[in-house]
Amino acid sequence: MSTRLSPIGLVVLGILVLVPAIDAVAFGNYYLMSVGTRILIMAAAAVSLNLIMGYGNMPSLAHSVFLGVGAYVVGACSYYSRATGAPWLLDGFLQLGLVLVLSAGAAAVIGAICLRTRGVYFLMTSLALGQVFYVLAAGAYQFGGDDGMALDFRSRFPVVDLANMPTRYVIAVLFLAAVIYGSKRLVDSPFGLALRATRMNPRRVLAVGNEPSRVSLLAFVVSGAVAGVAGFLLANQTDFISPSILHWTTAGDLMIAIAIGGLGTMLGPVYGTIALLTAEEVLSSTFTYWQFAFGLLIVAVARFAPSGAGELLRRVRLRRA
Amino acid sequence: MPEIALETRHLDKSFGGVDATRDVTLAVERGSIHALVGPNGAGKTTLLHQLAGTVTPDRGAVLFEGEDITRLGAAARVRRGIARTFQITALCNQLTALEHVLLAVQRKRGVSFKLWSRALAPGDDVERALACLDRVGLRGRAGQVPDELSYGEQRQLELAIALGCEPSLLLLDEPLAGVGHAEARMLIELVRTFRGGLTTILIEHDMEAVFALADTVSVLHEGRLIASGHPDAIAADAAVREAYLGDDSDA
Repeated sequence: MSTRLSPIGLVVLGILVLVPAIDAVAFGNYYLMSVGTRILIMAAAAVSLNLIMGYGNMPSLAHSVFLGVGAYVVGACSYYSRATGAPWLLDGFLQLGLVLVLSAGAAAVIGAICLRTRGVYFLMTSLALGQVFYVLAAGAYQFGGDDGMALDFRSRFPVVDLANMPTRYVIAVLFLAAVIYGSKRLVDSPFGLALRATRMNPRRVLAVGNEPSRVSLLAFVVSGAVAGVAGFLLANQTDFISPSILHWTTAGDLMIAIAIGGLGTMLGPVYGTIALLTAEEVLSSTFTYWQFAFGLLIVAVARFAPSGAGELLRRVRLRRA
Repeated sequence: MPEIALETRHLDKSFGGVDATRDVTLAVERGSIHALVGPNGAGKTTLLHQLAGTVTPDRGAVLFEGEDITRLGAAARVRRGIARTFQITALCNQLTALEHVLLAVQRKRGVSFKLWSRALAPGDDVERALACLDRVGLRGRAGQVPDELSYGEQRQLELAIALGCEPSLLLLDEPLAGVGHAEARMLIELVRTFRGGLTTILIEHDMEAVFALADTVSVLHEGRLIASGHPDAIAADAAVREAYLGDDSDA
Protein backbone atom coordinates (compact mmCIF):
# COMPACT_ATOMS: atom_id res chain seq x y z
CA MET A 1 0.00 0.00 0.00
CA SER A 2 1.26 3.45 -0.86
CA THR A 3 -0.24 6.90 -0.48
CA ARG A 4 2.33 8.48 -2.79
CA LEU A 5 1.10 10.30 -5.89
CA SER A 6 3.97 9.85 -8.33
CA PRO A 7 4.76 13.03 -10.36
CA ILE A 8 6.08 10.91 -13.23
CA GLY A 9 2.87 8.89 -13.18
CA LEU A 10 0.85 12.11 -13.40
CA VAL A 11 2.93 13.48 -16.27
CA VAL A 12 2.60 10.24 -18.25
CA LEU A 13 -1.13 10.24 -17.59
CA GLY A 14 -1.32 13.84 -18.80
CA ILE A 15 0.42 12.88 -22.04
CA LEU A 16 -1.86 9.85 -22.53
CA VAL A 17 -4.88 12.05 -22.06
CA LEU A 18 -3.62 14.46 -24.75
CA VAL A 19 -3.34 11.74 -27.41
CA PRO A 20 -7.06 11.46 -28.25
CA ALA A 21 -7.39 15.25 -28.13
CA ILE A 22 -4.53 15.70 -30.62
CA ASP A 23 -5.89 12.95 -32.81
CA ALA A 24 -9.24 14.73 -32.90
CA VAL A 25 -8.00 18.29 -33.36
CA ALA A 26 -5.13 17.62 -35.75
CA PHE A 27 -6.46 14.70 -37.77
CA GLY A 28 -10.22 14.99 -37.32
CA ASN A 29 -10.22 11.48 -35.88
CA TYR A 30 -12.75 11.14 -33.07
CA TYR A 31 -12.61 7.41 -32.44
CA LEU A 32 -9.97 7.56 -29.68
CA MET A 33 -11.81 10.40 -28.00
CA SER A 34 -15.03 8.43 -27.90
CA VAL A 35 -13.33 5.34 -26.48
CA GLY A 36 -11.14 7.48 -24.21
CA THR A 37 -14.09 9.21 -22.56
CA ARG A 38 -15.50 5.89 -21.44
CA ILE A 39 -12.09 4.66 -20.28
CA LEU A 40 -11.42 7.78 -18.20
CA ILE A 41 -14.82 7.58 -16.52
CA MET A 42 -14.24 3.91 -15.71
CA ALA A 43 -10.77 4.82 -14.41
CA ALA A 44 -12.39 7.25 -11.99
CA ALA A 45 -14.77 4.49 -10.90
CA ALA A 46 -11.76 2.21 -10.36
CA VAL A 47 -10.09 4.87 -8.18
CA SER A 48 -13.25 5.07 -6.09
CA LEU A 49 -13.38 1.27 -5.72
CA ASN A 50 -9.69 1.17 -4.83
CA LEU A 51 -10.40 3.62 -2.03
CA ILE A 52 -12.42 0.99 -0.18
CA MET A 53 -10.76 -2.12 -1.58
CA GLY A 54 -7.11 -1.03 -1.46
CA TYR A 55 -7.09 1.32 1.52
CA GLY A 56 -10.03 -0.14 3.45
CA ASN A 57 -9.94 -3.89 2.73
CA MET A 58 -13.50 -3.94 1.38
CA PRO A 59 -13.54 -5.87 -1.93
CA SER A 60 -17.02 -4.88 -3.05
CA LEU A 61 -18.75 -6.37 -6.08
CA ALA A 62 -21.68 -4.07 -5.34
CA HIS A 63 -19.79 -1.19 -6.91
CA SER A 64 -21.73 -1.87 -10.13
CA VAL A 65 -24.89 -0.83 -8.29
CA PHE A 66 -23.71 2.74 -7.75
CA LEU A 67 -22.63 3.13 -11.37
CA GLY A 68 -26.05 1.77 -12.29
CA VAL A 69 -27.85 4.20 -9.99
CA GLY A 70 -26.03 7.09 -11.66
CA ALA A 71 -26.87 5.85 -15.15
CA TYR A 72 -30.49 5.01 -14.38
CA VAL A 73 -31.15 8.43 -12.84
CA VAL A 74 -30.21 9.96 -16.21
CA GLY A 75 -32.33 7.34 -17.98
CA ALA A 76 -35.34 7.72 -15.72
CA CYS A 77 -35.28 11.51 -15.93
CA SER A 78 -35.04 11.30 -19.72
CA TYR A 79 -37.92 8.81 -19.85
CA TYR A 80 -40.25 10.72 -17.54
CA SER A 81 -39.39 14.03 -19.13
CA ARG A 82 -40.54 12.65 -22.46
CA ALA A 83 -43.60 11.04 -20.86
CA THR A 84 -44.76 14.12 -18.93
CA GLY A 85 -43.21 16.87 -21.00
CA ALA A 86 -41.49 18.28 -17.91
CA PRO A 87 -38.21 19.91 -19.02
CA TRP A 88 -36.99 20.54 -15.45
CA LEU A 89 -36.34 16.82 -15.07
CA LEU A 90 -33.44 17.21 -17.48
CA ASP A 91 -31.66 19.75 -15.27
CA GLY A 92 -28.16 18.34 -14.79
CA PHE A 93 -27.69 19.70 -11.29
CA LEU A 94 -30.98 18.24 -10.15
CA GLN A 95 -29.98 14.89 -11.64
CA LEU A 96 -26.55 15.04 -10.02
CA GLY A 97 -28.17 15.83 -6.67
CA LEU A 98 -30.43 12.81 -7.10
CA VAL A 99 -27.48 10.64 -8.11
CA LEU A 100 -25.51 11.64 -5.01
CA VAL A 101 -28.42 11.08 -2.63
CA LEU A 102 -29.47 7.75 -4.14
CA SER A 103 -26.01 6.25 -4.63
CA ALA A 104 -24.86 7.34 -1.16
CA GLY A 105 -28.12 5.99 0.28
CA ALA A 106 -27.76 2.67 -1.53
CA ALA A 107 -24.13 2.49 -0.39
CA ALA A 108 -25.14 3.15 3.22
CA VAL A 109 -27.63 0.27 3.16
CA ILE A 110 -25.44 -2.19 1.22
CA GLY A 111 -22.34 -1.20 3.20
CA ALA A 112 -24.06 -1.57 6.56
CA ILE A 113 -25.07 -5.13 5.67
CA CYS A 114 -21.78 -6.18 4.01
CA LEU A 115 -19.71 -4.76 6.87
CA ARG A 116 -21.10 -7.39 9.19
CA THR A 117 -18.68 -9.68 7.36
CA ARG A 118 -15.02 -9.58 6.32
CA GLY A 119 -12.79 -10.71 3.48
CA VAL A 120 -14.23 -13.25 1.07
CA TYR A 121 -17.59 -13.20 2.91
CA PHE A 122 -17.73 -9.46 2.32
CA LEU A 123 -17.13 -10.14 -1.37
CA MET A 124 -19.93 -12.72 -1.57
CA THR A 125 -22.41 -10.58 0.39
CA SER A 126 -21.73 -7.61 -1.85
CA LEU A 127 -22.17 -9.85 -4.89
CA ALA A 128 -25.57 -11.09 -3.68
CA LEU A 129 -26.86 -7.64 -2.76
CA GLY A 130 -25.53 -6.15 -5.99
CA GLN A 131 -27.28 -8.75 -8.12
CA VAL A 132 -30.60 -7.84 -6.48
CA PHE A 133 -30.30 -4.39 -8.03
CA TYR A 134 -29.29 -5.92 -11.36
CA VAL A 135 -32.44 -8.03 -11.41
CA LEU A 136 -34.54 -4.98 -10.48
CA ALA A 137 -33.06 -3.01 -13.40
CA ALA A 138 -33.50 -5.93 -15.80
CA GLY A 139 -37.17 -6.08 -14.78
CA ALA A 140 -37.81 -2.36 -15.26
CA TYR A 141 -39.73 -2.75 -18.53
CA GLN A 142 -40.40 0.99 -18.99
CA PHE A 143 -36.61 1.44 -19.25
CA GLY A 144 -36.30 -1.37 -21.76
CA GLY A 145 -35.87 -4.22 -19.27
CA ASP A 146 -33.06 -6.54 -20.26
CA ASP A 147 -32.31 -4.66 -23.47
CA GLY A 148 -31.89 -1.27 -21.89
CA MET A 149 -32.85 1.83 -23.82
CA ALA A 150 -31.43 4.70 -25.79
CA LEU A 151 -31.80 8.06 -24.05
CA ASP A 152 -34.19 10.62 -25.47
CA PHE A 153 -32.35 13.44 -23.72
CA ARG A 154 -28.96 13.90 -22.13
CA SER A 155 -28.60 15.89 -18.92
CA ARG A 156 -28.68 19.64 -19.47
CA PHE A 157 -26.29 22.12 -17.91
CA PRO A 158 -25.99 25.86 -18.46
CA VAL A 159 -23.23 26.71 -21.01
CA VAL A 160 -21.86 23.14 -21.16
CA ASP A 161 -23.44 21.00 -23.89
CA LEU A 162 -23.09 17.27 -23.22
CA ALA A 163 -24.19 16.45 -26.77
CA ASN A 164 -20.76 17.69 -27.86
CA MET A 165 -18.20 14.89 -27.78
CA PRO A 166 -15.05 16.96 -27.06
CA THR A 167 -16.96 18.61 -24.21
CA ARG A 168 -17.70 15.19 -22.75
CA TYR A 169 -14.06 14.26 -23.09
CA VAL A 170 -12.92 17.38 -21.25
CA ILE A 171 -15.47 16.70 -18.50
CA ALA A 172 -14.25 13.11 -18.17
CA VAL A 173 -10.66 14.35 -17.86
CA LEU A 174 -11.65 16.91 -15.24
CA PHE A 175 -13.73 14.32 -13.38
CA LEU A 176 -10.85 11.85 -13.27
CA ALA A 177 -8.47 14.59 -12.12
CA ALA A 178 -10.90 15.60 -9.38
CA VAL A 179 -11.37 12.01 -8.25
CA ILE A 180 -7.61 11.37 -8.10
CA TYR A 181 -7.05 14.61 -6.19
CA GLY A 182 -9.97 13.91 -3.87
CA SER A 183 -8.86 10.36 -3.11
CA LYS A 184 -5.33 11.61 -2.39
CA ARG A 185 -6.75 14.19 0.02
CA LEU A 186 -8.97 11.60 1.66
CA VAL A 187 -6.23 9.01 2.09
CA ASP A 188 -3.94 11.64 3.65
CA SER A 189 -6.65 13.00 5.96
CA PRO A 190 -7.21 12.02 9.59
CA PHE A 191 -10.09 9.93 8.29
CA GLY A 192 -7.82 8.27 5.72
CA LEU A 193 -5.36 7.48 8.49
CA ALA A 194 -8.14 5.84 10.51
CA LEU A 195 -9.30 3.95 7.39
CA ARG A 196 -5.81 2.61 6.65
CA ALA A 197 -5.37 1.66 10.30
CA THR A 198 -8.72 -0.16 10.21
CA ARG A 199 -7.49 -2.19 7.25
CA MET A 200 -4.25 -3.10 9.02
CA ASN A 201 -5.52 -3.68 12.54
CA PRO A 202 -9.12 -2.98 13.59
CA ARG A 203 -8.20 -3.72 17.22
CA ARG A 204 -5.87 -0.74 17.21
CA VAL A 205 -8.60 1.57 15.94
CA LEU A 206 -11.00 0.28 18.58
CA ALA A 207 -8.38 0.81 21.27
CA VAL A 208 -8.09 4.53 20.49
CA GLY A 209 -11.88 4.91 20.72
CA ASN A 210 -13.12 4.72 17.12
CA GLU A 211 -15.57 2.12 15.84
CA PRO A 212 -13.87 0.39 12.88
CA SER A 213 -17.25 -0.37 11.27
CA ARG A 214 -18.17 3.31 11.27
CA VAL A 215 -14.89 4.28 9.65
CA SER A 216 -15.38 1.61 6.99
CA LEU A 217 -19.01 2.55 6.33
CA LEU A 218 -18.23 6.22 5.73
CA ALA A 219 -15.53 5.25 3.22
CA PHE A 220 -17.98 2.88 1.53
CA VAL A 221 -20.59 5.65 1.19
CA VAL A 222 -18.11 8.21 -0.18
CA SER A 223 -16.81 5.66 -2.66
CA GLY A 224 -20.35 4.72 -3.72
CA ALA A 225 -21.30 8.37 -4.31
CA VAL A 226 -18.25 8.88 -6.56
CA ALA A 227 -19.19 5.77 -8.54
CA GLY A 228 -22.71 7.20 -8.85
CA VAL A 229 -21.36 10.31 -10.56
CA ALA A 230 -19.24 8.09 -12.83
CA GLY A 231 -22.43 6.25 -13.84
CA PHE A 232 -24.14 9.58 -14.51
CA LEU A 233 -21.31 10.58 -16.88
CA LEU A 234 -21.23 7.14 -18.48
CA ALA A 235 -24.93 7.30 -19.41
CA ASN A 236 -24.41 10.75 -20.91
CA GLN A 237 -21.40 9.47 -22.84
CA THR A 238 -23.01 6.36 -24.33
CA ASP A 239 -26.47 7.95 -24.66
CA PHE A 240 -27.76 4.58 -23.58
CA ILE A 241 -28.55 2.71 -20.38
CA SER A 242 -28.69 -1.03 -19.84
CA PRO A 243 -28.85 -3.34 -16.82
CA SER A 244 -25.46 -4.75 -17.83
CA ILE A 245 -23.81 -1.83 -16.03
CA LEU A 246 -25.33 -3.16 -12.78
CA HIS A 247 -24.09 -6.68 -13.37
CA TRP A 248 -21.39 -7.75 -10.94
CA THR A 249 -18.94 -8.18 -13.81
CA THR A 250 -18.69 -4.38 -14.10
CA ALA A 251 -17.23 -4.28 -10.61
CA GLY A 252 -15.28 -7.45 -11.40
CA ASP A 253 -13.62 -5.72 -14.36
CA LEU A 254 -12.74 -2.78 -12.13
CA MET A 255 -11.19 -5.19 -9.62
CA ILE A 256 -9.09 -6.79 -12.35
CA ALA A 257 -8.00 -3.32 -13.48
CA ILE A 258 -7.04 -2.45 -9.90
CA ALA A 259 -5.14 -5.72 -9.48
CA ILE A 260 -3.24 -5.15 -12.73
CA GLY A 261 -2.37 -1.55 -11.90
CA GLY A 262 -1.65 -2.00 -8.20
CA LEU A 263 -4.06 -2.38 -5.30
CA GLY A 264 -3.84 0.42 -2.77
CA THR A 265 -1.81 2.78 -4.91
CA MET A 266 -2.94 6.21 -6.04
CA LEU A 267 -2.54 5.83 -9.82
CA GLY A 268 -2.43 2.04 -10.23
CA PRO A 269 -6.20 1.73 -10.77
CA VAL A 270 -6.09 4.44 -13.45
CA TYR A 271 -3.33 2.73 -15.42
CA GLY A 272 -4.92 -0.65 -14.85
CA THR A 273 -8.22 0.55 -16.29
CA ILE A 274 -6.54 2.18 -19.27
CA ALA A 275 -4.60 -1.04 -19.93
CA LEU A 276 -7.60 -3.33 -19.46
CA LEU A 277 -10.09 -1.39 -21.55
CA THR A 278 -7.58 -0.57 -24.28
CA ALA A 279 -6.62 -4.25 -24.50
CA GLU A 280 -10.30 -5.16 -24.64
CA GLU A 281 -10.88 -2.60 -27.40
CA VAL A 282 -7.91 -3.81 -29.47
CA LEU A 283 -8.15 -7.54 -28.83
CA SER A 284 -11.92 -7.88 -29.16
CA SER A 285 -11.87 -6.38 -32.66
CA THR A 286 -9.07 -8.60 -33.95
CA PHE A 287 -9.44 -11.87 -32.13
CA THR A 288 -12.64 -13.80 -31.43
CA TYR A 289 -11.28 -15.46 -28.32
CA TRP A 290 -9.70 -12.25 -27.04
CA GLN A 291 -10.59 -13.15 -23.46
CA PHE A 292 -8.15 -16.04 -23.74
CA ALA A 293 -5.28 -13.64 -24.51
CA PHE A 294 -6.55 -11.54 -21.67
CA GLY A 295 -6.45 -14.46 -19.28
CA LEU A 296 -2.80 -15.01 -20.16
CA LEU A 297 -2.12 -11.34 -19.42
CA ILE A 298 -3.68 -11.67 -15.96
CA VAL A 299 -1.68 -14.81 -15.23
CA ALA A 300 1.47 -12.95 -16.27
CA VAL A 301 0.67 -10.09 -13.91
CA ALA A 302 -0.04 -12.51 -11.07
CA ARG A 303 3.26 -14.30 -11.75
CA PHE A 304 5.62 -11.37 -12.36
CA ALA A 305 4.03 -8.42 -10.58
CA PRO A 306 1.67 -9.65 -7.86
CA SER A 307 1.37 -6.12 -6.44
CA GLY A 308 0.49 -4.66 -9.82
CA ALA A 309 2.36 -3.26 -12.81
CA GLY A 310 3.33 -0.17 -10.82
CA GLU A 311 5.42 -2.49 -8.66
CA LEU A 312 7.22 -3.75 -11.77
CA LEU A 313 8.13 -0.20 -12.81
CA ARG A 314 9.37 0.56 -9.31
CA ARG A 315 11.58 -2.53 -9.36
CA VAL A 316 13.02 -1.60 -12.76
CA ARG A 317 13.82 1.86 -11.44
CA LEU A 318 15.45 0.45 -8.32
CA ARG A 319 17.63 -1.90 -10.38
CA ARG A 320 18.86 1.02 -12.49
CA ALA A 321 19.62 3.15 -9.46
CA MET B 1 -16.20 13.14 43.05
CA PRO B 2 -15.85 9.67 44.53
CA GLU B 3 -12.44 8.55 45.73
CA ILE B 4 -12.80 5.32 43.80
CA ALA B 5 -12.06 5.58 40.07
CA LEU B 6 -12.86 2.01 39.15
CA GLU B 7 -14.68 -0.78 40.84
CA THR B 8 -15.56 -4.34 39.95
CA ARG B 9 -18.32 -6.29 41.69
CA HIS B 10 -18.37 -10.08 41.74
CA LEU B 11 -16.97 -10.46 38.22
CA ASP B 12 -17.18 -13.96 36.76
CA LYS B 13 -15.88 -15.07 33.41
CA SER B 14 -15.33 -18.57 32.14
CA PHE B 15 -14.17 -19.85 28.77
CA GLY B 16 -15.58 -23.26 27.96
CA GLY B 17 -15.61 -24.47 31.55
CA VAL B 18 -12.33 -22.82 32.54
CA ASP B 19 -12.99 -20.14 35.14
CA ALA B 20 -10.70 -17.29 34.18
CA THR B 21 -12.23 -14.81 36.59
CA ARG B 22 -13.99 -15.85 39.78
CA ASP B 23 -15.96 -13.46 41.92
CA VAL B 24 -13.48 -10.60 41.62
CA THR B 25 -14.45 -7.54 43.65
CA LEU B 26 -11.91 -4.79 43.47
CA ALA B 27 -11.73 -1.05 44.09
CA VAL B 28 -9.07 1.18 42.58
CA GLU B 29 -8.44 4.58 44.14
CA ARG B 30 -8.29 7.61 41.93
CA GLY B 31 -4.75 8.68 41.08
CA SER B 32 -3.21 5.52 42.49
CA ILE B 33 -1.00 2.93 40.86
CA HIS B 34 -2.65 -0.43 41.31
CA ALA B 35 -0.67 -3.54 40.38
CA LEU B 36 -2.24 -6.87 39.41
CA VAL B 37 0.10 -9.76 40.01
CA GLY B 38 -0.17 -13.51 40.03
CA PRO B 39 1.24 -16.61 38.40
CA ASN B 40 0.73 -17.25 34.69
CA GLY B 41 -2.86 -18.20 33.96
CA ALA B 42 -4.10 -16.42 37.08
CA GLY B 43 -6.56 -14.41 34.97
CA LYS B 44 -4.83 -11.03 35.04
CA THR B 45 -5.17 -10.28 31.33
CA THR B 46 -8.75 -11.59 31.23
CA LEU B 47 -9.60 -9.23 34.07
CA LEU B 48 -7.96 -6.34 32.22
CA HIS B 49 -9.97 -7.21 29.09
CA GLN B 50 -13.15 -6.93 31.11
CA LEU B 51 -12.09 -3.52 32.37
CA ALA B 52 -11.27 -2.41 28.82
CA GLY B 53 -14.50 -3.78 27.37
CA THR B 54 -12.94 -6.32 25.01
CA VAL B 55 -14.34 -9.22 27.05
CA THR B 56 -17.84 -9.19 28.56
CA PRO B 57 -18.14 -10.76 32.02
CA ASP B 58 -20.64 -13.57 32.55
CA ARG B 59 -21.76 -12.05 35.81
CA GLY B 60 -20.95 -9.03 37.92
CA ALA B 61 -20.42 -5.36 37.18
CA VAL B 62 -17.71 -2.89 36.28
CA LEU B 63 -18.16 0.65 37.58
CA PHE B 64 -16.14 3.59 36.32
CA GLU B 65 -16.47 6.91 38.16
CA GLY B 66 -19.53 5.48 39.88
CA GLU B 67 -21.31 4.55 36.64
CA ASP B 68 -22.05 1.02 35.50
CA ILE B 69 -20.08 0.45 32.28
CA THR B 70 -20.40 -3.35 32.20
CA ARG B 71 -22.28 -3.31 28.86
CA LEU B 72 -20.30 -0.50 27.29
CA GLY B 73 -18.16 -1.39 24.24
CA ALA B 74 -14.40 -0.97 24.11
CA ALA B 75 -14.41 2.16 21.92
CA ALA B 76 -17.04 3.84 24.10
CA ARG B 77 -14.92 3.15 27.18
CA VAL B 78 -11.92 4.79 25.54
CA ARG B 79 -14.08 7.83 24.86
CA ARG B 80 -14.96 7.88 28.58
CA GLY B 81 -11.30 7.94 29.46
CA ILE B 82 -10.10 4.35 29.79
CA ALA B 83 -7.05 3.61 27.63
CA ARG B 84 -5.08 0.40 27.51
CA THR B 85 -1.95 -1.16 26.11
CA PHE B 86 -1.81 -4.68 24.73
CA GLN B 87 0.32 -7.50 26.08
CA ILE B 88 0.86 -8.66 22.51
CA THR B 89 1.40 -5.41 20.68
CA ALA B 90 -1.47 -4.39 18.39
CA LEU B 91 0.14 -2.11 15.85
CA CYS B 92 -0.39 -1.31 12.16
CA ASN B 93 2.46 -2.61 10.03
CA GLN B 94 2.60 0.28 7.57
CA LEU B 95 1.97 3.21 9.90
CA THR B 96 4.82 5.17 11.48
CA ALA B 97 5.09 5.62 15.24
CA LEU B 98 3.89 9.20 14.81
CA GLU B 99 0.86 8.10 12.77
CA HIS B 100 -0.04 5.57 15.45
CA VAL B 101 -0.13 8.24 18.14
CA LEU B 102 -1.93 10.64 15.78
CA LEU B 103 -4.74 8.09 15.50
CA ALA B 104 -5.31 8.48 19.21
CA VAL B 105 -4.76 12.24 19.36
CA GLN B 106 -7.09 12.96 16.44
CA ARG B 107 -9.81 10.72 17.83
CA LYS B 108 -9.53 12.54 21.16
CA ARG B 109 -9.77 15.91 19.42
CA GLY B 110 -12.78 14.73 17.44
CA VAL B 111 -11.21 15.16 13.99
CA SER B 112 -10.96 11.49 13.01
CA PHE B 113 -13.81 11.94 10.56
CA LYS B 114 -12.32 14.93 8.77
CA LEU B 115 -11.88 13.95 5.12
CA TRP B 116 -10.16 16.97 3.67
CA SER B 117 -7.41 18.16 6.04
CA ARG B 118 -4.00 16.53 6.18
CA ALA B 119 -3.45 14.17 9.09
CA LEU B 120 0.26 14.96 9.19
CA ALA B 121 -0.09 18.73 8.70
CA PRO B 122 2.19 20.56 11.16
CA GLY B 123 0.12 21.82 14.06
CA ASP B 124 -1.41 20.95 17.40
CA ASP B 125 -2.17 17.31 16.58
CA VAL B 126 1.37 16.50 15.52
CA GLU B 127 2.85 18.50 18.42
CA ARG B 128 0.75 16.54 20.91
CA ALA B 129 1.60 13.23 19.29
CA LEU B 130 5.31 14.05 19.34
CA ALA B 131 5.00 15.06 23.00
CA CYS B 132 3.53 11.61 23.76
CA LEU B 133 6.38 9.92 21.92
CA ASP B 134 8.81 12.13 23.81
CA ARG B 135 7.36 11.06 27.16
CA VAL B 136 8.05 7.39 26.41
CA GLY B 137 11.46 8.17 24.89
CA LEU B 138 10.55 7.49 21.26
CA ARG B 139 10.66 10.99 19.80
CA GLY B 140 13.69 10.11 17.71
CA ARG B 141 11.86 7.13 16.22
CA ALA B 142 8.70 9.00 15.14
CA GLY B 143 9.14 8.15 11.45
CA GLN B 144 9.71 4.43 11.94
CA VAL B 145 7.18 1.68 11.18
CA PRO B 146 6.76 -1.16 13.73
CA ASP B 147 9.10 -3.54 11.86
CA GLU B 148 11.90 -1.02 12.26
CA LEU B 149 11.34 -0.79 16.01
CA SER B 150 12.74 -3.22 18.54
CA TYR B 151 10.26 -5.24 20.58
CA GLY B 152 10.87 -2.97 23.56
CA GLU B 153 10.31 0.11 21.45
CA GLN B 154 7.02 -1.34 20.25
CA ARG B 155 5.97 -1.61 23.92
CA GLN B 156 6.98 2.02 24.43
CA LEU B 157 4.90 2.95 21.38
CA GLU B 158 1.89 1.11 22.84
CA LEU B 159 2.18 3.34 25.89
CA ALA B 160 2.58 6.49 23.78
CA ILE B 161 -0.63 5.66 21.89
CA ALA B 162 -2.49 5.13 25.16
CA LEU B 163 -1.22 8.51 26.41
CA GLY B 164 -2.43 10.06 23.15
CA CYS B 165 -5.97 9.07 24.19
CA GLU B 166 -5.54 11.42 27.21
CA PRO B 167 -7.14 8.90 29.56
CA SER B 168 -8.05 9.26 33.20
CA LEU B 169 -7.56 5.52 33.70
CA LEU B 170 -4.69 3.67 32.12
CA LEU B 171 -4.58 -0.13 31.83
CA LEU B 172 -1.07 -1.41 31.23
CA ASP B 173 -0.57 -5.06 30.31
CA GLU B 174 3.08 -5.91 31.01
CA PRO B 175 4.52 -2.62 29.76
CA LEU B 176 8.06 -3.65 30.71
CA ALA B 177 8.18 -7.07 29.05
CA GLY B 178 11.00 -7.09 26.52
CA VAL B 179 12.00 -3.50 27.22
CA GLY B 180 15.73 -2.81 27.68
CA HIS B 181 17.08 -2.04 31.13
CA ALA B 182 17.58 1.70 30.66
CA GLU B 183 14.20 2.10 28.94
CA ALA B 184 12.51 0.10 31.68
CA ARG B 185 13.91 2.45 34.32
CA MET B 186 12.70 5.42 32.30
CA LEU B 187 9.21 3.90 31.93
CA ILE B 188 9.06 3.18 35.66
CA GLU B 189 9.86 6.84 36.32
CA LEU B 190 7.22 7.84 33.78
CA VAL B 191 4.51 5.70 35.41
CA ARG B 192 5.56 7.15 38.79
CA THR B 193 4.70 10.65 37.47
CA PHE B 194 1.14 9.46 36.78
CA ARG B 195 0.52 9.12 40.52
CA GLY B 196 -1.95 11.67 41.81
CA GLY B 197 -3.36 12.43 38.36
CA LEU B 198 -3.81 9.43 36.15
CA THR B 199 -5.15 6.25 37.72
CA THR B 200 -3.03 3.32 36.58
CA ILE B 201 -3.76 -0.40 36.67
CA LEU B 202 -0.66 -2.37 35.90
CA ILE B 203 -0.03 -6.02 35.14
CA GLU B 204 3.66 -6.69 35.54
CA HIS B 205 5.91 -9.66 36.19
CA ASP B 206 8.90 -7.55 37.18
CA MET B 207 8.35 -7.64 40.96
CA GLU B 208 11.05 -5.06 41.58
CA ALA B 209 9.14 -2.62 39.41
CA VAL B 210 5.83 -3.55 41.02
CA PHE B 211 7.10 -2.96 44.53
CA ALA B 212 8.84 0.25 43.50
CA LEU B 213 5.71 1.66 41.89
CA ALA B 214 2.49 0.32 43.30
CA ASP B 215 0.37 1.95 45.98
CA THR B 216 -1.74 -1.18 46.09
CA VAL B 217 -0.99 -4.71 44.96
CA SER B 218 -3.76 -7.19 44.16
CA VAL B 219 -2.89 -10.85 43.80
CA LEU B 220 -4.87 -13.15 41.53
CA HIS B 221 -4.65 -16.90 41.70
CA GLU B 222 -6.71 -19.23 39.53
CA GLY B 223 -9.06 -16.38 38.68
CA ARG B 224 -9.68 -15.43 42.29
CA LEU B 225 -8.51 -12.33 44.13
CA ILE B 226 -6.58 -13.79 47.08
CA ALA B 227 -5.09 -10.64 48.52
CA SER B 228 -5.13 -6.90 48.00
CA GLY B 229 -3.28 -4.26 49.95
CA HIS B 230 -0.12 -2.27 50.57
CA PRO B 231 2.94 -3.81 48.86
CA ASP B 232 4.64 -4.52 52.22
CA ALA B 233 1.59 -6.35 53.52
CA ILE B 234 1.36 -8.38 50.32
CA ALA B 235 5.02 -9.34 50.49
CA ALA B 236 4.40 -10.75 53.96
CA ASP B 237 1.10 -12.47 53.11
CA ALA B 238 1.12 -16.24 53.62
CA ALA B 239 -1.53 -17.03 51.03
CA VAL B 240 0.38 -15.12 48.40
CA ARG B 241 3.57 -17.01 49.15
CA GLU B 242 1.72 -20.26 48.83
CA ALA B 243 0.19 -19.27 45.48
CA TYR B 244 3.60 -18.40 44.10
CA LEU B 245 5.43 -21.33 45.66
CA GLY B 246 2.72 -23.69 44.43
CA ASP B 247 3.48 -22.60 40.89
CA ASP B 248 7.07 -21.49 40.78
CA SER B 249 7.22 -21.64 36.99
CA ASP B 250 6.44 -17.95 36.95
CA ALA B 251 7.88 -16.23 40.00
